[in-house]
Amino acid sequence: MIESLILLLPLLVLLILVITIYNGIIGKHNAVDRAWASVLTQERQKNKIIPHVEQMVEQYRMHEASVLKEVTALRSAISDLGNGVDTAKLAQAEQRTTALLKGLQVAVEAYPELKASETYSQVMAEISEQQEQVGAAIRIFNRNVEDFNNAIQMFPGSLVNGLLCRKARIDSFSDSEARGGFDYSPNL
Amino acid sequence: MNHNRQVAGNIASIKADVEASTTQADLVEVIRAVENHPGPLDYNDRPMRLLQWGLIALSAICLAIAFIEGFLYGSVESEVFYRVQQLIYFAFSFSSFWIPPLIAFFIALRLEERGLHLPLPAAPARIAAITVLGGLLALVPMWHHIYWMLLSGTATLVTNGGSRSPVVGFAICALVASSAIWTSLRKRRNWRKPVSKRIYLLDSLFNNDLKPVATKGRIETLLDTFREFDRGNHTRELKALYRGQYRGDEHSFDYELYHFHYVRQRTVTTTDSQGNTSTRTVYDHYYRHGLLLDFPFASGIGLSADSGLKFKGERYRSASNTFNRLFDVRAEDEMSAARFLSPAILELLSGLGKSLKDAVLEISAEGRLCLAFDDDDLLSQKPQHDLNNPAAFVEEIAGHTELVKLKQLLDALHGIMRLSDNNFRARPQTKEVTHD
Repeated sequence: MIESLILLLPLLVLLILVITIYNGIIGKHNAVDRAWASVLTQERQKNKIIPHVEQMVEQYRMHEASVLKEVTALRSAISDLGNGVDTAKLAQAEQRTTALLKGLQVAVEAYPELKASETYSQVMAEISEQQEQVGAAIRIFNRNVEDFNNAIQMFPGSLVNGLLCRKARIDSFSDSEARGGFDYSPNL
Repeated sequence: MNHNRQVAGNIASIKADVEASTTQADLVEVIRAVENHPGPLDYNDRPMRLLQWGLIALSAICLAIAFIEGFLYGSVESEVFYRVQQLIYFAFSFSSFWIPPLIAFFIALRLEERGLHLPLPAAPARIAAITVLGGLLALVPMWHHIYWMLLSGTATLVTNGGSRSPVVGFAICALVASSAIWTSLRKRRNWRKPVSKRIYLLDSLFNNDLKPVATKGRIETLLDTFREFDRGNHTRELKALYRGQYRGDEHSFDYELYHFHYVRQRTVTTTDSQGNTSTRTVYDHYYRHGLLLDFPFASGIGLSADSGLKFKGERYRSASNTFNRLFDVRAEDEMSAARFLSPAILELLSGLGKSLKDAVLEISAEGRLCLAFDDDDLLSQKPQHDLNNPAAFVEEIAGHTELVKLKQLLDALHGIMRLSDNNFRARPQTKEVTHD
């Protein structure tokens, strides 16, 4: 009886270990999913700015068509964002935001009254904060991706993943435009 | 005596000047006054030092005699040793007569120094009177019995039953007394250090616009507002409370910096080798520090990185693994936590959680925020110089002492406010601190 218990004990410990690792991998995968959802939520928050920009254009009778064009492009990029992990579409929405920001800064030079107005400073503060929020959401997503990739690639997680979970490695988000500014790319 | 009384008076006057300072310039003036002080500023403790070394010598002789008697009895053939032993025993056997007036004599010296004396005209007469009064104790028959019992008891207790000799007990008591005198003399000799520390603290407070606030009655209201203060089961008190103002790019706010002390009382039961159990009460002292301010952008949320403090309410897990590993989040409802904990705030709080020990961030239902932690280095920066080198100390005090860690925390709290407010709504004006 005692011999059987001694034999069973390591098996029981092994089983608990496998269950813990399995649950850890699934938990970390779900955390990546949730972090990505948070990135999309923050990106969609940009819809909040669009009516204010449109109101600003109307109120100050801005004639720069480029601003309205950028607004339309941003709205379309945000609506294109799906629910799955599509870093390309996110990068596109980010580029559209940068373009709108630049367009606004150029256009506003012709309207000193607008530049000094509270509406303009509120819109700029909101855009800047939303960019900060999206940046933070992306960093959180990338850290969760790192956690998940470590869990499935490091031993003994790699063994449990290969036999039971069969989850694939997830790529972290990187901005192609920002990457294009460097000659160097790491040989990962 | 007169000299020491003058020193005590001069030091008291310097301390009073420090406490009366209201600006950095006042502190600089105090240091310059110390630098050019005609004196005297250093105690003459020769009699006390003599007593200290006398006690050490007496203790060493007593221990040596006890050791020789216990382990080498009969093997020492020196005539001198037995003569010394006889002399010591003679003096020792009358110690219950001469110890009380001796102690009374030194107490009288200290009382003279502090200006507390009997209504007699001359100092020597006052000292002699107190010494004689101490000597009168020897006339009480009970005293001698208590004295010898105390010496034997001390020897038994310290040697764990190995010796009951009053000589050993006397040696131990003399050692303890000499170390107490040494500590006291050291404190008197180094009086400049604590005064310098106080000057440096006041300078930090002036430089950072922090003003002391009365703490009376505040702890009860804080206890009603924040779970953070519901710690310990014995004493809870605010050791210090300062009020300051932060001016940020977007928000300006009043804040309070506090030092909280609480005591946990517990009963410890011990069983000795003979199976006898005894219980005693132990008081564990703990200290927490933190910031209090108005926070009108969220309510009813508690974040705890301290395993000793759990909030009530719905549990919320954020999208960040790093943040979830650091904090346990509870809120009145999950939605308010989700709204407040945006990605940028999660990153800011993760940074705070890593840099502070056992951090707790609590936002009350009334919109008051409390950020608490174990770290005690918000105000306790160490000065490079002190009053021993007044010229260098003046230079140090005249410069700006910024409380770096406090500024970092306030910047982080300002960041949280900036990220929580609504940019399209009129911003709340700087608020005066409301007493909880």
